[in-house]
Amino acid sequence: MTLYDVLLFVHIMGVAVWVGGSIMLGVISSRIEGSGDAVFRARFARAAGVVGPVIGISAALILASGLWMVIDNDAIELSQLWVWLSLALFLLSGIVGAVYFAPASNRIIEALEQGRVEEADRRAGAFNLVSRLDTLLLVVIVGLMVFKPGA
Amino acid sequence: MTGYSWLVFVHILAAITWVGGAILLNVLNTRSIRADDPARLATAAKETEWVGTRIIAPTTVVLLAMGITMVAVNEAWTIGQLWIILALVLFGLTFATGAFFLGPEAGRIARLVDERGVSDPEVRRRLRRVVLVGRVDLITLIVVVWDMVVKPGL
Repeated sequence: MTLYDVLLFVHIMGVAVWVGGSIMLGVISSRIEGSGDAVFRARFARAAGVVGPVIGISAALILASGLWMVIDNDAIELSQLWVWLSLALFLLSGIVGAVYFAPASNRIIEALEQGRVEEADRRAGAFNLVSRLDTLLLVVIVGLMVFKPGA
Repeated sequence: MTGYSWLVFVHILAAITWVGGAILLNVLNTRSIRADDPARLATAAKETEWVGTRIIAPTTVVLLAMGITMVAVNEAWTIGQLWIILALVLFGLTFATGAFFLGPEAGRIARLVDERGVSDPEVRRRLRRVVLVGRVDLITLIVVVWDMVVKPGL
């Protein structure tokens, strides 16, 4: 087992947590929203808040292991299309996650807990749209990692 | 962009969905038990059953189909290689655990919660057991990922 194997394993596990977790959370959240119970929705949204830090840690591991692999492997350069494009999309997704998701989720919880269900529905609709676009972005990054355009 | 690359892409996406989804379910279920909130516990059990049967089970079928096709079309891989045997055995183990225990048991727990309430000792015992088995299953999945990366025996 080489250092590169270890880095690749950490990288793939990080991606699994981030992308797989995002896909699954999106599915479960959509189902919970459909329940129509405001108190229940707020409880779930609070419970799902734990996912944020988990994804944050996995993102840090993905970035660190990815950069280390570029340094460790002579065949991979930062200037290659698939590497820099993945990095750019990764940063975009990371920024969206840090700047948008946590505050938007808190505003939805607040609206639900104060009985402003229509506002919560409106905000949840926007949240879900951004979340789906973000997941799509992550799937594109996985595609770049597999197809390696410009390698 | 070859046909083989597409097989790898779908295989990896399926693996990510399975492993990442299993990790997320484990985190949410563990938090539900710790929070001791009946509504959350009931939801966790119901969602685990729904996601297990409608998302994870079909994903595992896609994962296996892509994996076997890749072995068939790539001359470098044969079913007799240690890493492939190990992956297939562990895959079978975790698939059977999910299909015959985790999914159905989560459904039974959800129904039991509706009938007896979440404070019932039997409900709590079963919840703890299903979370424990889920964790062991998750470790098995992580070992499969390690096996795919390191490819022991090659």
